[in-house]
Amino acid sequence: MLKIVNEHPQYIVAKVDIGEANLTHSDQFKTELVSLLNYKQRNVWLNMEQVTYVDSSFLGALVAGLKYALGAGDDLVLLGLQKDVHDLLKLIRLDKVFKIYADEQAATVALNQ
Amino acid sequence: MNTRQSFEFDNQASSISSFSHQMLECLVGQLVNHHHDGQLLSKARYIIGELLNNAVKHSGCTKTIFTFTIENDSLTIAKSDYGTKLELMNKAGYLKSDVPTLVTADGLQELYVIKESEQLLSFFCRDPQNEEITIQHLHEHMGLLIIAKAADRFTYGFNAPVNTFTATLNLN
Repeated sequence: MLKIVNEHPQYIVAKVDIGEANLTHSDQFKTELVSLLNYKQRNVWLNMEQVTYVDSSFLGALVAGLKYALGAGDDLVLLGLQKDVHDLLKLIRLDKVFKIYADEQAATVALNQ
Repeated sequence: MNTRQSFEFDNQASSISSFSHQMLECLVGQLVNHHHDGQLLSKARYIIGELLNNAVKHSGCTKTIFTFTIENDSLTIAKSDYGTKLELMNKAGYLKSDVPTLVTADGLQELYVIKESEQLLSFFCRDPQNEEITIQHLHEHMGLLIIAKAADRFTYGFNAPVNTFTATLNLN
């Protein structure tokens, strides 16, 4: 479900390889995300451009991943959110706690400033 | 033109995606002659997804009936079952009528319930006045919150033995 597409000394870019991120995926996603954070011990940038829909269980897994990352001194960044997904994060104000960028390049520019 | 359509869901997680698409396709057809903004279908999708999750995770039964009703410039999405009563309803006797009571808060959101009658609770959200966000305190369960924020009105009714969640979206 999570595929590493780019590795840098400071961060890993991992693609979320599903279209609809719902209850049937959230437990596995959370397990894979925490494993990735544990194994790589650096920031994880999630490329979510393929994800057309997320539900509360998947958002809960993202929040759990963010807590885990910050607790370990790392961060979890979201890239390439489709409009409906981004709108849902804004609706419940999760855009205030996640760093969200259009793509890896935009994140690189913003986070290196 | 007023319309109503019902669907029976088997409360299986594996059915969520196909069932959600089936309902949304039907909804698009029903709304074709009604004026609405572009956000309506997105909000309906959020609500349907969370009501399906609720059916799978919390209903404690094997069948849920979903009903769309379009009338008087509003869309109503109702989920009814004979399953487990919402725990909050057990505390309804302690709630003051028509007074908002805080259900959950995590720095980002505050979810309130109002007892409209002995059988009916309504939910709504407020942004916290003093916004102090501690990431480690954020809630990871936000289904009711999403519905309360997406809908113009969101209620839970218990008329033994039937549980009914109802989300209403204004078409105009």
